[in-house]
Amino acid sequence: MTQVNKEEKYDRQLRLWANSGQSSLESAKILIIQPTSTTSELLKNLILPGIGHFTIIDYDSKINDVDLSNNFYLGDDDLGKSKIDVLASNLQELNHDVSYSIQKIDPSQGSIEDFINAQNDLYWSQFDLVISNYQLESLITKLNDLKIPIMIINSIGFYGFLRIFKSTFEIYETHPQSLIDLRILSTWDELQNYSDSIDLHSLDIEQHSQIPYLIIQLKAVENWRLNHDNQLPTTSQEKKQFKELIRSWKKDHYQLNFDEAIDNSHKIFNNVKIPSNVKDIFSHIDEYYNDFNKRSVFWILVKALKEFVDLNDGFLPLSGELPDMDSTTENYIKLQNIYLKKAQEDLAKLKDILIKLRLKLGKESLPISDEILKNFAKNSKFLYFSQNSNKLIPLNFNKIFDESHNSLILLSFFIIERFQKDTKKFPTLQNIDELIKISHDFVTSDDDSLHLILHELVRSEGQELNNIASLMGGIGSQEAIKIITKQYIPLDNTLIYDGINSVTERWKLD
Amino acid sequence: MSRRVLGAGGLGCEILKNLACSGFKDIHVIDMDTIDLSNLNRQFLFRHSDIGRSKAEVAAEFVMKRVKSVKITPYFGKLQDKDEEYYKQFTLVISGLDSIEARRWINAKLVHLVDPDNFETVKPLIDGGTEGFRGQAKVIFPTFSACYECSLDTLSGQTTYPLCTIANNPRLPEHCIEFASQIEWPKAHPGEKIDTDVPEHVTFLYEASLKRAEEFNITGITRSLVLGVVKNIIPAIASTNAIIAASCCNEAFKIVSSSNPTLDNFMMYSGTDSVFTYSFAYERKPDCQVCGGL
Repeated sequence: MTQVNKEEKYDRQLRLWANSGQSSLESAKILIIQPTSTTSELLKNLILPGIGHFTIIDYDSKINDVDLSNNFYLGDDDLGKSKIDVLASNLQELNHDVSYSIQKIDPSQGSIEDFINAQNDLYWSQFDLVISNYQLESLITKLNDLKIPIMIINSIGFYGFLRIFKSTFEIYETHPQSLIDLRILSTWDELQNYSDSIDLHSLDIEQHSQIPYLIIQLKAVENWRLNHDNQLPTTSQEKKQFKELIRSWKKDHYQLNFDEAIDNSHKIFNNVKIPSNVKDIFSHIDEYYNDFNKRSVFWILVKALKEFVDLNDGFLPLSGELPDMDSTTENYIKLQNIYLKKAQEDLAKLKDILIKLRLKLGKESLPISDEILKNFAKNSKFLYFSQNSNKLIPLNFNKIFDESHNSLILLSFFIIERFQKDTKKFPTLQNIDELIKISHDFVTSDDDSLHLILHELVRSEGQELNNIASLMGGIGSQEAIKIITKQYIPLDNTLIYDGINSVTERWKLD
Repeated sequence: MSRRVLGAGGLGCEILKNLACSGFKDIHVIDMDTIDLSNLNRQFLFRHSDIGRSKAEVAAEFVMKRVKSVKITPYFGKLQDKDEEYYKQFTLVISGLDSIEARRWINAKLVHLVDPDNFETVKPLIDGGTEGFRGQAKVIFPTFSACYECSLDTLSGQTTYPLCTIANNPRLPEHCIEFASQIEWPKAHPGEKIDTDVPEHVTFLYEASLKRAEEFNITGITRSLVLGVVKNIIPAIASTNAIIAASCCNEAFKIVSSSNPTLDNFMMYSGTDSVFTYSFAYERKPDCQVCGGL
C-alpha cells in the first residue's frame, strides 16, 4: 500500500495518535496466549489499526460447535478445521499490512505452561505486549523482570476482568484537554514591553475592541496589584471585584474581547508553577536516573527538566500554545509570536542542558531526537508516572476490599482463578462452598453477597457472552494501544466490568 | 423476533456481529453510505475490494456467510424512505448513526408510534455514538424515559466560526480553511458544490487556504487539517466502536431476555485518562418538542 493510501486508510486514528503513534503501532509485536472470544475481539481491534505482528500460542485442536457459537472469527464453514489456523488467518485477513505467526502446542507433548516455561529471555524480548486470559505466576514473574507489559483479560458471563502488569508507566504525551499556559502573573520582558506599548484608554473604540483579552487581563492584574499592596485577588468577593474592574473598562456594551477577559479570569489565579504530578516525578529522579538499569529516555529528559526548572525561577518550559482570542489578525499574530519565541528559547535552554547531561553519561546515553524533546517540553506540565510492585496476590487487597458489590466481583475472579489452578477445571454450582472457603485466603467478606456473585459466574459454566467479550476486547485494545504508543494514560492497573448493572470500577492493586 | 440496526458504519458492523452471535435471527439494517478507504481502519466487515459498494449490503452478506443461522435484510437508502408500517414490525431499534438529524428523525418516529393503550407499540431505541477514545450509549423507552430530543442540550455540536472573523480577522488556520470553502470556492465555482471525495476539489481548498494563511502570516495549514475542517471529521477507532456497540447490544439482549436490569439510561465511556465510565438517569423534559405531554 502506498504512503498516501495508508494515510487515507488510517486517517481517523492518525488524528488521535499521529504518525509517531502509528509507527510505534506498526513496529509492535504482540503475543496472545490461548485466544478466547475476548482476546480474539481484542486482537481484531489491534489488527484493524495496523499493529505490526501478532503471535498466537494455542493447543492444536479442531473447531467444534461451542467454538463457533461464541467466536465470530470462526465461520460455520470452518467446522472441523484447525482452530488456531482458521482464527489467525481470519483475523489477519482484516488487514494485509499485518503479519502473524502461530505456535501450535500438541497436548500429548506437554502443556502451554510447559512451553512458556521453556522459553528463554530472547524469545520473550521480541514482544512489546503479552496478552493472556489467566494470571500464570511464572510468566508474570519472568515478564516483570524483562519489563515487558502483560495484560490479563477475560470475561465470564456478564462480568469482565482486566489487569495490567507493568512495572512503570512513564508517559509524556498524555493528551490533556489543553496545553495553554498564559503566565499572566509572571510576564517576561517581551510580553511586558508589548503590553506596555498599548495604552488601552487612549485607543478609539475600534482599536479598543481589537486588543486580545490576554493583554486586558495583564493590565487588570497590574492595576489591581497597584491598588492592593501588590497582592492578588484571593477571596471570591475580590475575584468578583476583579471582574468588575475589567467590565468598567469597556467602552461599549458589545466588546467581545472584554467579555472573553471576564469569562476567562478565573484561570489567571489557579496557576501553579509545578503541578503535583511533576513534583512527584522529580522526587523519583535519584531512584530512576541514577540507576543505569532504570534510566530510560524519559528519566534523562526528566533530569534535564529538573535542571531547567532550577535555573528558571521554578518554571517549566512554556508550551507556547494560545487560545483563539477576539482581535485583529495583526494583534493576535504578534502575541502568538511572542509566546512562540519564548517557547523556542525555553526549548533551546532545555536542549543545552540535555546535551551536557548526555556528554556526562557518555556512551551509555540513548539518542533523543529534537521531535521527542520538543514534544516532551510542550507536555512537561502533564507528565504521568506510576510504579507497580506487580504482586500476583496484591498486598493491598485488604485495603481496597470494602465489601462493595464491585469489589466482591473482583474478589470472585481471583477465587475462580485459584480454583481452576488447583483443580484444572471450571467450578460448578456444587463447588460454591469450596469457593467461599478459598475467599477466606484472600480477605474476610460477607459470604451471602459473595455467594450471589459466585453463583452468577459459575452458572455461565465459564462461557463468554459475545457482547461482554466484545466490550472487554474493546477496553483491552484501547489500553493496549495506549501502552504501545505511549500516548494517553492507560488503566493503572485493574478493572472489572459488570454487564448486569452496566458499570466499571478500577483499582490500583499493589 | 425482529430487531433492526440503523447505520452499518463503525458501530453498525459491530452491532450486526454482536446481534448475530447473541442469537438474534432476523435483523434489518439501513445505511445510505457506500464504503470508503478511510472506513477500513475500523469497519471490519469491509475489504479493499468492497470500496464503493453499499455498506448495508456488504455487511449483511459478510455476517450471513459467517453465521448461517441469521437472516439480515439490508436496505441501501435513507431512514426517511420507510414509513410507520415498516417501523412497526420491529421489537427494538439500535442506532449507530453518525448524524444528529438522522437520530432526531428516528427518535421522533418511534415516539409517534406509541399508542398509550398498547404497550407493544413502545419500541425501545438504543443509541450509540463515539468520538476518539470516548463514547456513549443511551437506552430510550419512548414516552417512558427521556427521549433523544430531551437530551439534545448535552451535545456540544460542530464548532462554527463567526463570519466576520473568517472574512476580516483570521487568526487560526481553521479560519483560513473556512474562508477558502465558504467564500473562495463559490466565487471560483459558482453553482457547484464541494465534493471532498474529488481530489481536485480538496487541492483547490488546500491551496486557497494556504494562500490566505500566508497572506496573514498564519501557520499550520495541512491537507489533513483542511479535510478535517471541511468534512467535520471525527476521529474514530475500532476499540471504541467495539465498547459502545457491545454496550448497546448488551442492553438490547437484557431487554429482550428480561434477564437483568437495563441501563437507566445514559452511559458515558472515556479512555483518554485511564478508564472512566459514568451512568446516570437523564430526566424527561416536560416541554420536550417530541415527547413532552405524551
